[in-house]
Amino acid sequence: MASSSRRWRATAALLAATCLGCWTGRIFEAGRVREQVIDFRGAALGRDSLRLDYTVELSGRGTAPGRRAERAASMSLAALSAEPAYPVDAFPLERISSGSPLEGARPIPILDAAAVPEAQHAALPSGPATDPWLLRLENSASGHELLRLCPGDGAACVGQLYSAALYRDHTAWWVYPLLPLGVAVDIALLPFQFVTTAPFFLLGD
Amino acid sequence: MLRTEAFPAVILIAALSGAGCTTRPPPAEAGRPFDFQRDSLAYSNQLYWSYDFSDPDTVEMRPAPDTAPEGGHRCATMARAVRQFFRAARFDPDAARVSDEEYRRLVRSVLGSDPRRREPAQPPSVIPGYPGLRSFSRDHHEIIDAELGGAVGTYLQRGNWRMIFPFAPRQNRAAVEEWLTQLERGQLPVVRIVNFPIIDVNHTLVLYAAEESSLEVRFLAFDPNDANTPLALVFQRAGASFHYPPTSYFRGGTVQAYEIYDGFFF
Repeated sequence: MASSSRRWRATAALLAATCLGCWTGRIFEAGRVREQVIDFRGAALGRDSLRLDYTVELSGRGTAPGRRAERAASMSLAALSAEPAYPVDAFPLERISSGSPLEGARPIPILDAAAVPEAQHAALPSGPATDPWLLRLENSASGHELLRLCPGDGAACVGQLYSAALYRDHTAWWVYPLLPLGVAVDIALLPFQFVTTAPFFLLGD
Repeated sequence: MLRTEAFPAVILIAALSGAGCTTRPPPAEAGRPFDFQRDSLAYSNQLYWSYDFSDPDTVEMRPAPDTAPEGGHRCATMARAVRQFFRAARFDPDAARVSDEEYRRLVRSVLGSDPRRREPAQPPSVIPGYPGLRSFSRDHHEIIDAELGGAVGTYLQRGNWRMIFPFAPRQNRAAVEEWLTQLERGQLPVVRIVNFPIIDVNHTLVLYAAEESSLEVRFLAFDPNDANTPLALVFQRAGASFHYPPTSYFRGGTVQAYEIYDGFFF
């Protein structure tokens, strides 16, 4: 009995020494899935809103590398042109089903500014029918990817959206069944944490 | 609602003005602004190590040659001191200078004030003969050091427990809003940056200004390890993550950040 108890303590101390930090937090962090836009597949302009279809790459410690998903979002034109611009984490957009049509919207082209010289913009065909609008994809002065809603005739653009506004993260479903286990381990190891964190303060500056 | 046809005429002018940085207007009760060249310490926390980050995968650490045994690991207490002097001291450059003993008494009074109080002390301790902490600390480095104590104040800072636990994106966003509000009021959040359990940074900063844009919030900070250069702790809105630039002691990159000297538990 005493030997078993010693083994348990030794195991717990070893775990604490080699696995610093809150286990519940580690589980949450492992299950956090981040979605970043890697490609815009299409855009459609409605009477007062814009719809974007795009592809995201999913990343996170518990996510297989290279996973992708198709997403769609709609946003009001007023939001695109708001001044001052919305913070990207508060931009008012609605995530919609990737396959659902936006009522009354017509497709408009997305022009990659890096691939097409400025002088050629006005000469480009500007979308199906005679749509006078296009989305220009460019890098902002700060190096961030920016979509700008512009007239097809080369006049000044009138609305913009950082692709960072489409960033999302969520917690994977499998995190929640593991939480009771994480909490139990944390309760068992918390006293050791206060001892084993000492090197964190003494090493480095 | 805007009609597509009327869209350009309505919003062209607004859109052309761009999406530059914005600064929140100070509220009516705002205190005086923090002046880095006047209100910060003139000397740095000493480093026990010199770091070589030339290899992208490893860091080479060598003992720093000139660091006094009691000279380092005081980032938390030094950051606390900057906040306390800003809050609880008033410098009077026109008054005659006084003895070291009198200055020691005044420093003790300032550093003995509650570091968790945010509002200016009434009445403040008046420190004669100097325009601000920077010039005062240049001449009376030893007095401030002695009254600050050693590294124990950093080791036993009561908010240290927080680094063990996770930092959720919504918590980071709430913290940023809180710090912006404090800065608007002329208060100085003291912030711990860590990457626990990775031992690449465990440091304390004093935030004294902020610049907001659509993409990020840049907090200008006094870094006790580099008293001469304001550095920026950047909050990237999209991922709700903090980033600190490369320094002599940190490779630069993502960090976790939380406020200390804030309430009973921190």
